[in-house]
This record gives sequence, structure tokens and C-alpha cells, in this order.
Amino acid sequence: MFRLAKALKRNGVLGINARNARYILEYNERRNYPLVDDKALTKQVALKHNVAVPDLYGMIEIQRQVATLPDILAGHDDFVIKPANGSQGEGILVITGKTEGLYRKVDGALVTDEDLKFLVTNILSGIYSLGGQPDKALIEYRVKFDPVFEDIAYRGVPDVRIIIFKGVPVMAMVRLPTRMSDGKANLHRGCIGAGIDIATGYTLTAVWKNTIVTEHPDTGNPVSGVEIPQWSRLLEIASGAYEMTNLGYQGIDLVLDKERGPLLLELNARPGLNIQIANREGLQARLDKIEAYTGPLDTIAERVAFARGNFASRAIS
Amino acid sequence: MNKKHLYILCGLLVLVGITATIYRALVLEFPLTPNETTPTWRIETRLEIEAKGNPVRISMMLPSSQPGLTLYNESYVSPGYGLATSAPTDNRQAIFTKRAASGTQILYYSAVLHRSLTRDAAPKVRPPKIRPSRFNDIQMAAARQVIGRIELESADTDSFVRLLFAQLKDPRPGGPEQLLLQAARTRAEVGVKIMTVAGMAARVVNGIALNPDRRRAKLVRWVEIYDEDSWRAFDTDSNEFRAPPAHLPWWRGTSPLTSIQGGRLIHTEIAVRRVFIDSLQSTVGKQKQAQSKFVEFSVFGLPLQTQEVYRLLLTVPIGIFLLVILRNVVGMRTFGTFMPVLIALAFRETQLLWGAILFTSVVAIGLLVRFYLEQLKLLLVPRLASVVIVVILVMTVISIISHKLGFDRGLSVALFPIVILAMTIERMTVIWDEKGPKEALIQATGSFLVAVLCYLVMNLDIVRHWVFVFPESLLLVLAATLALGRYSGYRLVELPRFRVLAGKD
Repeated sequence: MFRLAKALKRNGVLGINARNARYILEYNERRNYPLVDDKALTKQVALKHNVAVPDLYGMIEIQRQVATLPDILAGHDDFVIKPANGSQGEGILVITGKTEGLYRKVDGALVTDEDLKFLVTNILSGIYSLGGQPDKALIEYRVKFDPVFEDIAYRGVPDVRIIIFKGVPVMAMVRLPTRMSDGKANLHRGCIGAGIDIATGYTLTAVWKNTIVTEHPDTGNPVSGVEIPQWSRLLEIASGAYEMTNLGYQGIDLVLDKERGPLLLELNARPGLNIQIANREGLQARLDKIEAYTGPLDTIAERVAFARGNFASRAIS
Repeated sequence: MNKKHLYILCGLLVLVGITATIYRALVLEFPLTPNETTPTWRIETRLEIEAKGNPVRISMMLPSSQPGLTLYNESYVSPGYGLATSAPTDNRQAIFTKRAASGTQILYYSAVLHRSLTRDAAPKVRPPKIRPSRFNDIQMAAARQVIGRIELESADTDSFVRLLFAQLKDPRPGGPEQLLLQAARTRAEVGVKIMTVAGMAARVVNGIALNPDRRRAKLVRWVEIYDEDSWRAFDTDSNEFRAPPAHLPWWRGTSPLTSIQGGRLIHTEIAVRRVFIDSLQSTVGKQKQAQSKFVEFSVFGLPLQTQEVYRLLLTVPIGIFLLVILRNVVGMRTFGTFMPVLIALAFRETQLLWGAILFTSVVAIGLLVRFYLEQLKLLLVPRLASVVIVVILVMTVISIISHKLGFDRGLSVALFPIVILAMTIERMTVIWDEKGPKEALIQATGSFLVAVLCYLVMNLDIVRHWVFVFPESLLLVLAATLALGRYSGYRLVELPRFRVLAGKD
């Protein structure tokens, strides 16, 4: 056991305790958390910094407004309902279309107005929010993902997660939904995580349920060596999130929309550590490198250049 | 900077905690383990007096606390008598008085005596005044003769005293010592008188032997000599400068144990009995006797019922510390942060096995109800309230059924905090909905295991004893918890999770 711990340490694998003690507590000020925890606020800040986000169709803040839900939905065939303060993708419902007054979910099942109102009520009462605080429900644009992912994603929307430290992109991965993950981009639930080479924007080998895979289990298409479109732009948006929130250590979730290009989905002040498995590389060495660097990292361009120059993949075999 | 601050804080807490604990353990002599018994004796004096209808005044010498010996729980049984005790200046006395008494009067005095294991130095006192001896001329001449001879043979006070008592113990027939020995009742008394003539301050000590069991303890006498700012005991039996071992000095001087006016003493009896009082009890009694601020401003200064509350409450930090380790070092997942500790507290009331059975059954039933309510699409707060109501009803039914079936242990289900049960059910369903039954069961099992572990540790006799008797030791727990706040090593469960990243070499 100690040998295992030692091997992980040698490979610079970051543990939860180390992430919390050395990075989150040191570099993330608590007062900045609402900016990332409340997705409505995140949207506002992002727009102020000229970063595109999924359009907000409407927001429900109090129980009385739940009755107006059908009015908000009237003009839209497809949309997403999510809690403003949700975590780990909980409480998110994606509607892809309408038939005869019913709404179609991603998996094809139909739900009624009443079901949607119940979901919104639950969101408002805070069961999905951190600490059970009363919450808001957002109704927003449903992302139509870029065709590059069509062959390697099962139903859900693949998203790109980039971790930045002091504004420098440190590590990235793309999460590809599978049948097992129920179309959700969540590694615990069995979606594929494929590391991305920061330098080139090509996917590396992928991890699925703690095993290394090279092709998508549902579609059979290769998941490694795929080029992520507009990689430079994605790195720039991620790097710019530092100015948006002032959080030293954060995770940026981006999606590539077919029509609108890269959109900022959400920010995370406590990004998970599975990204290390997807990249088969520990975070520690990269973080140390940034902490030790004394040159200027003030502009987005400088930070992205530093990342591309220093963080080419060196996956652990 | 931050880290240094933390280490200094932890170091200070450890220092204060250890110092206070050592002080309490070594100086105040609180027992280190539960049920430890310390050398303790119960002393009982029984006086039997014949009175003839006149006013009666009985005075009796009382022992008093002194270095190495503490007296407490004193009690007097003296029906119909007025009682006064004199302040412990020289000899402490109890004075019993009655306007008119006739027939046999029986008075009792009892006390508990605690002998501490530390040997304190004799306190410094100012030199006493030497009172002239009441010898007649012949006796005085004999005493001078004895003194003159011994002074020639001795070098200092020590050798003088030794020689004197050696000669008194084994007097030459017809010598001056024999003459002097006839003038008083005991050797000690004669020795003291002779030393007074020689210009030394000395006094007789009357005491009893602290034997394990003695129905009729005999009074023993030895001598104390004033030498260099303090009184030094001298055992006239062994001719050594020390108090006779395991003896209680009762009073000093040549006065008798009791003096009675208006009556006649028939019988005096002193009984010594070794008792095995829980040393915690005796220490607290002893400290209270000494008016120790340390006891007054501690848990023991509280009313008994409140003490019981703290007996429970003070174990919580131990459980919480264990929880911190299990969550942050091992990486177990639990419902809520401190819920397992609260469940563990409830187990204490119900006993582990029954607690576990009842807890799981109530939670399981509550869960079923919660899933049923799910279909009705209720608002959060009314839904939670309904679960609480159902939980209470289920608890009532379990109590009634188990009582009818003769399992009275089932009644203890009522001791579970309802809110904890309801919250457990609610958290479990939310996680069940959100992350699937697997995660919910993992967390439920985790919470349950942590609760059981916490219960087992919090219920160890030694743990309960330590936190209650040495609450300062919780400062060490606090320091360890604070230090864990900066622990940045891997959690145990992360090792298999990141196994892929261990690489091959």
C-alpha cells in the first residue's frame, strides 16, 4: 500500500487532500465562489468578458413563477432546465423536442408539463444545490454539438474540461457520453474521459471505467487522435476565466456548438481529479512548474503560449 | 507562514494540554484509569459515656489533613448534642454539648482518609515556644544527669535524640532513666520532657496505625523534634528519624483523646478499615475538601445531572476526530458531515446490536414511505415533515409490538433522535434518485460503519474516563484535528482509484 502511495507520489498524482489544502484553500478566495456556483452569475460575468454562453431563455426564482413555465417554454422546441447552484450535473434535464403537448427527453421518453414543474419545484427547494440552499432554475439553449463528436458520443453532449492554474491551462480532457452514462458527461457514471494534448489539441488515449480504451464502446469509433476543433480558442476562453472569477485553481467546462462555436457551460471551483486518469499523467509536476515560473503570465496570450510550450503530453505508460 | 502559524498553535495546544493533564494526574492525583482504587481508609471513633442528668461537655481530638494525608467526608453521629469544631490551629477538636443527658450516650465520628503517593516535604514553621517541664526537683536532677552524659557522647541533635531514646528503651536498673520513666506514661512523653529541659523543642504525637483492618486500633505515640525550620518525626520504636510507616498522626501533645465534663467515659473504640473507594470519587472529595479552585472550576464543580450530560458530550470530540480520520485519511463517504457521530451517540442509549437493528429497520421503512411520497410530487418541506411523522409512528409501533412480544429492548427505539432518522432517510433518497441505489447504499454503509466505529471508540471505558476526568486532553485532540486540516497526503481510497497512474517500473 505504501509502495502504491509512493509510486503515485513519484508520478505527481494529486490527491483530494493535497488539491484542497495546497491549491483550493491557497488560491481560491471563498468570496469568489458564488460566481462559479451560481450559473446565472457565471453567465453574466462571461458575457461581460465577451465569452459566448448558451442563451438564457428564462429563470424561475420563486414557487409562484413555476406556473409561468409553459409560457417560457412556448417559443422553444428544445431546451435545458438546470439548477443555478447544482453540482456534478445533478438536476439537469435536456428536452430535445415536443410532440402533442409532451416533451421528449434525450432518451426518447416523454414527459408532461407537470413533470417539468415538479422538477423546477424541487430545484427551487434546493435539493440539488450545495448545502441544500434554496435555488433558482435556469431554462436555457440546448447545445447542438459539433459534428466532430458525432461518431464518438452517445446521445449526450460531449464537453471539454480544462483546468487552469493562475490562468494557465494545465490539463484538459473531453468527456464523451456513453450508453452506460445515460448520455451524461460524468466520469463516475461511465462516460469516457479522453485526455487532450494541450500543445496540439489532439485527444490522447481514453479512460473508461478505470480501463484504457482506444475506441468508443457504443459506436466502435476511435476516440484517440481526434482533433478538437478551435483548440486555440478553447484555451483562450479557459485562460480568460481567471480574469472573470479571480480563482487561482478552477475547472472550465466548454462545449462546441454546431452553429455558435465554443460556449462556456460552467465553471468549477473544485474540479475533480479524474482528469489525471484521462491524461494518464499527474497534475503535480505541471502545477509546480507554474508556481516556479517567474516570467510574465499576465496576458491570455502569454499564458496559453506557456501552456502549449510546457505541457505536451507525457503519459505514464 | 500559514503553516508555521498552524504548527505553533498546535504545539501550544499540545503543551497546555499535556501540562494540565500531568498537573491533574500527578499533583491533584486524579486516577489515570477508570476504577482505579487508591489507598483509602475509613476511620470510626465510637465513644460510650455514662451521664447522670447533668449538662455534658465532651471534647474529642480530631485528626486533620496534612501533607501526604487528606481527610474528607467527615461525619458525626451525636443525637441531641450541639456540635462545634475548633479551627485547626494546633489540635482540631470536636466539642459535643448537651443541656441534660442521662444514661448511656453513644457518639460516633467517622472520616475517610486518603493517603497520597507523593511525599511532600514537611512545611516550614516558625520555632515554637519552649514550655518548662513539670518535673520535681529529684526528677529535674535526674534529667540533668542524663542530658549531661548524652551531651558528652553525642555530636548533634540527631545523635542526641538517638542516644536518649536508646537509653530510655533499655534503662540501666537503678539509673536516672528508670526514675524518669516512672514519672510519665510513655517513653515518648518522658523523652520530650527531657529534651525540653535540654532546651530543645519537641512534642509527642498520638496516632494510629493504618492497618488493613483493625476493629480496635491502639494509639501509638512517637515524637516530633523541631529542627531547622520544621518538625521532624522520630519513631521511638525503631529509633529512626521518620514517622512510623503507615500511621495517621491524630493529635499532638500529652492531652488525652477525649475529655468529659458531666459524665464518665466508659469506652472508646477506634476502628480502621481499608475501603476501596473509586479513586475518582476520593480524589474529587479530597480536592473539594481542599477547596481547590481546580475542582471548583472544572466539570466536577457542576451539579451531578449536568455532569452526566458532559460525560456524554465530552466523548463527542473523540468521535468527531475519528470521523475526520475516516473521511480525510481513509476517504469513507458518509451522509452529512457529523451525522455518523450523532447516530453513534444514539447507539449509546440503545446498545449496539439493538441500535443497529432498530436503526436499519426504521430507516428502511422510512425509505419505502419516502419513495411512495415521491409519486405524489410534494414540496420539499411538507415531504420532509411527512417523513418525520411517519418515522415517529413507525417508532411507536415498533415499541408497542416489541413490548407485547417481550423484547423490551425494542422500547429503546424511542431514544433515537427523530430528526437524525428523518434526515438520514431524506439524504438517502436524494442520493438514491440522483446517483443511483449503488451510491446510496455505499454512503449508507459508510455512515453506518463510521457510526459503529465511533460508538465503539467513544464507549471505551478508558476513553470515557479520560475525556471526563482530563478534559484538557481534548486540547491534544483539537491539535491533532487542526494538524489534519493541512494533511495533504493521499486518501486510502484514492490509491486503488489512481492505480493506473502508478506506472510500471
